[in-house]
Amino acid sequence: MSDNTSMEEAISKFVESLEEEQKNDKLLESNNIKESYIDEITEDYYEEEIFEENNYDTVDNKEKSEKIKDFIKKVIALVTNSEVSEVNFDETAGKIDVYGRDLGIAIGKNGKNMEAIEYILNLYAKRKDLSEKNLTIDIKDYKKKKYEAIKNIALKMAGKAIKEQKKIILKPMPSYERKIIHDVLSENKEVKTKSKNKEPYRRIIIYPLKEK
Amino acid sequence: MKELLEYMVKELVDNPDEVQITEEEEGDKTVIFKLKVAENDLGKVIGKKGRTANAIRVVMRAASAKRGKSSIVKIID
Repeated sequence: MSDNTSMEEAISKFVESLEEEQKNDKLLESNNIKESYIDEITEDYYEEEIFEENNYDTVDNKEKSEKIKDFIKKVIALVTNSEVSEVNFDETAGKIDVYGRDLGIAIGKNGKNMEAIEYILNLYAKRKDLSEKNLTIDIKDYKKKKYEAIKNIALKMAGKAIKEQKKIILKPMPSYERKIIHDVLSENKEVKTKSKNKEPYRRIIIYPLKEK
Repeated sequence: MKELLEYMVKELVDNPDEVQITEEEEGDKTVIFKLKVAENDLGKVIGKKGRTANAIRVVMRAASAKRGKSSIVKIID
């Protein structure tokens, strides 16, 4: 069949062209003009580059995370004169959890010392280009527990405002604590929250909304 | 405590070699740290509205409180 002959022809032509290429290759090699190959960008060339870059990136990020963890470990150990037993860094959230015995002084009253350490850590991380995210530190779940406690106060006081149909004035709180209350009660359609007075005496007032 | 101050400051400035800290005791309980940095690093240790200097002082006060002392950090300019 003519198809077969044309196929054979095509194959022999292909083989010929391969042989031709190989000859050319050898010629190029023998003439020491291999250099031209360096500029020739093939798919392999790209793949190799990309692989190397990715590899480099992960190593680099790992190193950055380690530097952040080391900084925190060292600063907290020096402040507390105690040992940090565990540092967990959630890179995607920019959240660092620190655990160890006797770290209370690194938290301080109302988390004040922890806030200062956090501020310095962020300066360090930004300076050394270690993180694009704003980093937060929590020591022995202080913030987590505080969040739960404030959330409970918010729910309890909102209940009281609704039940007694009168506004509830809370004690002064720092901004991040007020934010928790606003956030928690924003879902509640029966109350409204507002802040009053100037820092550091700014406090939240919970108003009951009249029922229909 | 001096080690803590030195570590933090050296990581924040451009010229860590020019960071100088002297430590003086005042009475039994107060330690005064005098911090000297390169002129162009002054802004880095003071920060906007003094926020960096304030944070450094808070951390140093925490460290000294733990050791039953109080501390003062003076930035020499």
